[in-house]
Amino acid sequence: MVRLKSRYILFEILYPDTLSSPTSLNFTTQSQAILSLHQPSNPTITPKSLVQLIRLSLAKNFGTLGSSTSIPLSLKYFSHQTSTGIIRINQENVRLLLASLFFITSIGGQNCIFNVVCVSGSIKQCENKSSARSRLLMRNVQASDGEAVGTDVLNALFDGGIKVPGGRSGDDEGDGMDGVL
Amino acid sequence: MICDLNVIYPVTDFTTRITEKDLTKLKCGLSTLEQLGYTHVALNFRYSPQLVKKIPNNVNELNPIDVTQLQEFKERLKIFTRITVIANDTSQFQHIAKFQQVFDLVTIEPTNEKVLQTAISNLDLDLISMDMANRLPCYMKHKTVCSAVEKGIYFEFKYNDLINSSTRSMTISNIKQLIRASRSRGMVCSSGLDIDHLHFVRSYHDVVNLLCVIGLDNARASQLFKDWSSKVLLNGRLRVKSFKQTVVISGDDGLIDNRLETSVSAESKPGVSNTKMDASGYTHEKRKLDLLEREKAKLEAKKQKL
Repeated sequence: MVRLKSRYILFEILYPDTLSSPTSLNFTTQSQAILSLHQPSNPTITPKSLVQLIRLSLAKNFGTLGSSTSIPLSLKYFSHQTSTGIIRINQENVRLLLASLFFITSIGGQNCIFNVVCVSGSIKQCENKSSARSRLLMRNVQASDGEAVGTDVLNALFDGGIKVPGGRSGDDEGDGMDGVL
Repeated sequence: MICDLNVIYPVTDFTTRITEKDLTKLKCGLSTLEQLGYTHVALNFRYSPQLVKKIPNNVNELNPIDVTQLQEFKERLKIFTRITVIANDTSQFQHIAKFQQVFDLVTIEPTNEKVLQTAISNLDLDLISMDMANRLPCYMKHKTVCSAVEKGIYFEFKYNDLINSSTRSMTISNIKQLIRASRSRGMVCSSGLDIDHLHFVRSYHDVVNLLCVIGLDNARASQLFKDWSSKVLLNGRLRVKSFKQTVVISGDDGLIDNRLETSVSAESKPGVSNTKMDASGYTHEKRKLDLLEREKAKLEAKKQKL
């Protein structure tokens, strides 16, 4: 019996324009660069609109055949706070999907970069990778800058406290993927 | 080390200096690149001989790229300088030798077949940059391309053109031609990041994946950013900042950038930077002292003999 194989894609959305727009000194240290690139997403971006955007990109770049690959596509998780998400897709269509993410340049009227962090066969691995990555970013923020300033901005960003890795699993259960976990 | 050999420096003339606003944008672009995992970045000065007639005579004024303005990236990125000559006639090659003394990388963007042929056979270049957004100037022949690659002149294309939807199809077709002609060897892919389109930059994994979709195998595609790009950088270093074919590297991530060299040369010859120099300045402090002491001992031994 052959199992249906799928791939989980962990991606993050970066906003390069925020580097210069509010104040023009958001790049002098590594921590400032990290904080200003990883902005929270616009609340008008819903999981539905995100999937629609990806489908549109697939249709535009790969035509009817490309669109057909997006039928089993589903967004498993998306967090506005951290602008990260997980997409599930069939194993054979991974490359086309990644290419279509490559071609997306703006979301909700804002210029953005879709950065794929990891592609894996199980959602567990994606989650581990995600928490490891946020931990790494936190470490970089604190290492390159005075702690006091760094954590202050972070607290503002994540609504009271460093809950990025822990807060994730709670959200996921709400999305109806407890079976996988 | 993951290299991006083409970040366009927003200056069109040798004498003009970068404005404050453009510098801010450039720094934004560089910090984005850093966050996407790049370690070695070359700032590209695009020079078209038709538009800019005057070239400064003094070699030290030739480089408009001022790396000292990018102090923030001291520990974060290794920054190199590069010039791209957009040539449509072979007579424009006369200044290349001059450029080679000042820039880390010297590149030509040929606009017709004759220039491409002559550049490959006669010049000592690091890269040939092809404008993939428009129709290629000529049919890419396997013989021409491979003779360049064997000489160590690699071909460059930009993924910037791929993200721009109006030039996408033309770029894909051109990249396929280049892959076929070069038998998927000796190519370099760079961002071509322009300060007005800061979101036209991707992490190299994504580009590698896209190139796989286009028809390059996975291992070769990642070599575009790693092995071949670093070979090009090394070539440039060997040409300019080497002593008997030796260059300085750092222990953790390969080649070092201009920063150390300019500081060393400033110590010995104030006011001169980016010039040819030997590696003697890098001798470890302790070793320097050892050498001095040994020489002293030798002198004393001589004196006693006399």
